[in-house]
Amino acid sequence: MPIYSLDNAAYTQRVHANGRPPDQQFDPADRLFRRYPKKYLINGMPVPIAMQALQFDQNSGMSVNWSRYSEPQDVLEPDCCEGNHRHDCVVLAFAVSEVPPEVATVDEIDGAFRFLPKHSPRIACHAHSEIWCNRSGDIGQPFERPPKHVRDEFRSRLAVPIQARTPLSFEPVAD
Amino acid sequence: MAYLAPQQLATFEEAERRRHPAIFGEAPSSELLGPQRQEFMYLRELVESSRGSQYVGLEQAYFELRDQLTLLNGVGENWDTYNAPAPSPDSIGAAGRALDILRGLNAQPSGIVPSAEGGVGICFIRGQAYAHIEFLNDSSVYGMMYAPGKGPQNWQLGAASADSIQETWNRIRAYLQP
Repeated sequence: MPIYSLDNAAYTQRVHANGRPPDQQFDPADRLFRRYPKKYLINGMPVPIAMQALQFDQNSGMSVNWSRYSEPQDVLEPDCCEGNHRHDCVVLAFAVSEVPPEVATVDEIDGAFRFLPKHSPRIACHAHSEIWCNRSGDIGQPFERPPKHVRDEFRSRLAVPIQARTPLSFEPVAD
Repeated sequence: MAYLAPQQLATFEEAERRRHPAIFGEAPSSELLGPQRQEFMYLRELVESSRGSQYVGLEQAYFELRDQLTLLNGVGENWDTYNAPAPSPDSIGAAGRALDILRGLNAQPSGIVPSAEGGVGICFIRGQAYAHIEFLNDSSVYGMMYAPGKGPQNWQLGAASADSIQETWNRIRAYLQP
């Protein structure tokens, strides 16, 4: 049951997969949404050190919600949070075009890791997507975890457009 | 002998009050006010003189930063809702020692937050410029900074030693200057 949207057919059609297939046609102007803990804003601003940057799982990218199938507040819904309530988070938004397309490595000649969005829908959260990373730049190829200096440059470059916008706050809708 | 009528006396006193404002406007002595009031007076003067003091401002900022660091002991796994590891006691300890060194250098961090990579970050924000020192759970230490018109920089510190933190702060301070 949604918390930040009315519980109606429009919500269900938008958020749930409803048998829709994955869609990899990202537009550069499309937005990606991500949760951020409210208490770790500094002077009202998110900081890159508290933003995940492709570092945990060896085989998955950075989770986001894709605006083609999502309103910003949907990323806070239990449907998109594995059933959890996320009252303590704000929503960060950035455009697909603001994702750094590649970051060069320092220890290889012409070496680089490439980043691009990949639609990875879930039954209860069709908008779920990931920022995929590997050397080939092909989302069909396995995810590759970049080294620390690449992760840091990626998150510092992504943080600039994110910090330029005020994080989005949402209140539960009244029944 | 001439006597002044009551109305004339009032006029005379008013005239005297205007002629000698310091005498007629004298405040009660501290003895008359009593010991308790005297303490309040000293306290008020102390607060007034500390207002605007860089030293006191920095001390207050560091009290708050140490509180933020202490609170990280209670941060659990998945604190960012994307499975981030909790900061380890070692990384919190390393950040605390660095904070003491930074206090000695009169550096003013903007905040302390957990690192999404597992650890603790000491952050510096000046306008649109940003920097942090990151103390990871595996004991490695990293610096990062970026600002409009300047290329982002990130590097690994040799260790969390006093020299290394001082060198890093010098680098960050120079970068954050407009």
